[in-house]
Amino acid sequence: MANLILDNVSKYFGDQPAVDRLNLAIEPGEFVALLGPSGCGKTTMLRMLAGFETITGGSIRLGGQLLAGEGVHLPPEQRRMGMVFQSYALWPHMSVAQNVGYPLKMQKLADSERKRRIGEALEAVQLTHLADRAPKELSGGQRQRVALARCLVTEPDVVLLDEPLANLDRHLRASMEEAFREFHRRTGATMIYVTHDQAEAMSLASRIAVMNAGRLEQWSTPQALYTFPRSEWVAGFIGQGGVAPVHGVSAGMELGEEALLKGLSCDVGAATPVLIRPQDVRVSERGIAVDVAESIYRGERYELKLRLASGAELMAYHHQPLQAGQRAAVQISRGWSLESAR
Amino acid sequence: MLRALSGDQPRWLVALILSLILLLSLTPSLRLMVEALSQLELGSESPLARVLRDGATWQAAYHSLYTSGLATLIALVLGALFACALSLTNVSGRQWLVFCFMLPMMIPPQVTALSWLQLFGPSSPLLNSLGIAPALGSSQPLYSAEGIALLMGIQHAPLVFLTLRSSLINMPAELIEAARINGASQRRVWLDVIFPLCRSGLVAAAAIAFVSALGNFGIPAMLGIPASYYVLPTLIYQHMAGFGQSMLSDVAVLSMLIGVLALIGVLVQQRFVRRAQYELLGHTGRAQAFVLDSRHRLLLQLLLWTVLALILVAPLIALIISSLVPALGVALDSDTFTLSAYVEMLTRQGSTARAFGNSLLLASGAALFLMCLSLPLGWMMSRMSVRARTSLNSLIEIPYALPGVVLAIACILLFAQPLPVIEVSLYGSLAIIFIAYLARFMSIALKPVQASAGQLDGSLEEAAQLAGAGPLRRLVQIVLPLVAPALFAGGLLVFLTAVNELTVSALLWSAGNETLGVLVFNLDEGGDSVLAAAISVVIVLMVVALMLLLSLMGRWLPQGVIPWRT
Ligand SMILES: Nc1ncnc2c1ncn2[C@@H]1O[C@H](COP(=O)(O)OP(=O)(O)OP(=O)(O)O)[C@@H](O)[C@H]1O
Ligand SMILES: [Mg+2]
Repeated sequence: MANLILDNVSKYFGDQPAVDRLNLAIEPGEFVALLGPSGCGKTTMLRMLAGFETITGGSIRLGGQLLAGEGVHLPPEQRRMGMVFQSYALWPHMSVAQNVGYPLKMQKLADSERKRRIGEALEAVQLTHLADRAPKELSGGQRQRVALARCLVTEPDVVLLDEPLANLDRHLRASMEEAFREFHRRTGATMIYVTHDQAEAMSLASRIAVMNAGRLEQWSTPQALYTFPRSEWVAGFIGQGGVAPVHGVSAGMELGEEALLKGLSCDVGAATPVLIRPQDVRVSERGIAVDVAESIYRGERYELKLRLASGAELMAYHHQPLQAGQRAAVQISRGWSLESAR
Repeated sequence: MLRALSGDQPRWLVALILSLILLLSLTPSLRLMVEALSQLELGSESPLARVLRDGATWQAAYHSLYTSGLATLIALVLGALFACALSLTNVSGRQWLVFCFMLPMMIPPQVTALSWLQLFGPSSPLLNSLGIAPALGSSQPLYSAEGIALLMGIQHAPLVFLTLRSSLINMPAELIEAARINGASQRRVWLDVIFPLCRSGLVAAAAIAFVSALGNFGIPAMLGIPASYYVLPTLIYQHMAGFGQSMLSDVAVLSMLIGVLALIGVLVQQRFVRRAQYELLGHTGRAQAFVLDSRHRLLLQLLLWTVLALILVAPLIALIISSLVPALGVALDSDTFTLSAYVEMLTRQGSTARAFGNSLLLASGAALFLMCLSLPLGWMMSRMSVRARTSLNSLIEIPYALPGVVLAIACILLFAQPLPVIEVSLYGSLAIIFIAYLARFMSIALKPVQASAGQLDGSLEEAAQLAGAGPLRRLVQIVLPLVAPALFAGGLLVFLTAVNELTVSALLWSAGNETLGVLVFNLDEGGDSVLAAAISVVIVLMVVALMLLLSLMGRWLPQGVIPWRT
């Protein structure tokens, strides 16, 4: 096992940067998610790791070995990585067992050893009974499992996954997520998982790299990402909540009820954006005055959109509906101050 | 809704069009079969038995299979090289590469043969100009089975290219990438993934190249007849020159023989095309699996352009030089340079001008007629059930898929006697060629219209119908403006193909009714190669101009209408 180090990695298509000076140090055996909106460069980053794209600047190292950069470009077949594709990429002219056994054939393993390893891999994804089927005779979830087994079979150091669940329905996703977790436990491989679905990233990864327009916005654990987002952009991207300007605080501070009450009502000095999550907002008799902008029924509760005097919108949950346009008061128990949007 | 619309088309129009198609597509082949299988009661003296007993038949059949087989191999190598390079790698200048590679298919075979003949042999003006011509009396290497195969291979390579390319373009790049990341080198990827996945496409491509080579008349006529090397189409041509009682029945049997061989090829091709599509179903394709670095890319581009220089540019230069000298065997220099062939072509009254006139008349007539037919036909067919449409399409395809000689012989049989009732004989007039062209090129005109009409949203017409427009009004005011580019492109394609056509007219022409194709052929046979070369240069220029015109129209057309557009 080896750690994966991305040092100032850039990729330009023409003069357009798709990935812009990205730095990441990934520990061996970590489960990492690359998260970001469509077009932010996640796939490009993954393809550079795999060796399908050359890098324009910087370097990629795996356990001290230089994979790309400084004039070196190791071809994909020499990188000891595995990849799970969104379209599964199963070869239609090979059976399930042949698909799974292909990487072993490339390693020139003996027949008996190959059979044994194919058997093991298929068992791990519970597909032993389908070994002789053609890929087109499988369901979507089964195909994805074959792709997993093909990845598992060579015990690669690093496994790359590009939105592997995007083609599956909601029910299947849950069971496949479990399959990925199991895969990770079993192999202990470093996993790099590309997705634009934050719930998926949060539930799977131990650390998340949030990307925006080719740059790294934040690199931290899911919990920290939710509780302590660095910038206004990340706060808007992850989870729900409102951002309000608060006076007399600086970025990166946790604010309590007192500080918020003071900072929201005063208007001298520079304002800093503060993230307020809906579960920290409570409708009460006294407190900060707000206008109710909207009240939406969500089944288990009502979701309120509240407008502060400054015009900023907050979100809150409540057990009963409020009239739009009605005045109300709220108490805010926690806020987190952010760097302003660039 | 659809049913309501189709019921609303005027019955007389549907009946008229359907009977016209039946008449054009089916009757010639049926008439041919009746003739070939006639007098079977005579036993061993029946035409069928007589032809099958004849050694010349079997020799020509063997020659046909040999030259077509070899041509198919050559076409496969060339077509696969270009298809792989242009669909899987990042070479630049694709559009021009494709255009130039498609050109040999559009240049008429007799012109191809003539230009290659100018490239080799002791009297080649090009070799003489360069001072490297072989000694007088040495033989022309192209007058051989291999020469025929080489030229047919080059001419039909674009068909292989098109077929293979469609299966390569649909191949998802992920399948290749998955092999790479699992440890396969580039070479293994070819062996383990790309080749197995386009095998059906390869078979289909081979079949279509083979069928086309089998029906090719121009090249074996120009290269084979001087060496007394006969293939089935030229054997028929040879038979037609002789008269005699049984001649027509004999050629009918021979035609049926080619027809059956071609039919087998077509069936193989259709089967494998369908399989190739089926195998990759459900994947989204993305081209450019191999991104080459600049050095390899340059090398590949160099290779492709060198191949094009050899198969296209060199013979065309030879042709141009031949048209600029006073006689064959003369080297081109400032003293011998002359435009007299062009002057003669433009000023000499008689056969040259007449042939130009005839071909232009036939080609534009056929194009216009087929455009008028394709509009309502394509419209009707877009409203049909899938089954009805498929059968109608196969019917229309018959005269185009069968070798030209087969159709020509069938037309002779059909029109040898004066037409019933009106007592007019078409045989020996331009009209018989015209009818044969209509049957042969209907499929070319119809395809673009079908593609375009298939893309139309039915609601466009329904809106017009609700506004009170009857079917004919809708056809003219709604459908016509929307499919006009495709209709026009189809017409141009017909014109382009018909104006150079040789095979059909070689058998159907009569004095005063020569076509351009026949003219080049006759001039070369009569030894007037310089004039033939000059006419050929004009023909090539015309082909290139028409192809460029079609390319320019490309952006208003549905994909796939113009074969050489990427
Ligand atoms: N081969 C290419 N040539 C030019 N530009 C490209 C190429 N590949 C990607 N890009 C551009 O690079 C940027 C990043 O693309 P990328 O595919 O990495 O996005 P992504 O984050 O994976 O998006 P999605 O979530 O939609 O898959 C996009 O603006 C895209 O248009
Ligand atoms: Mg992507």
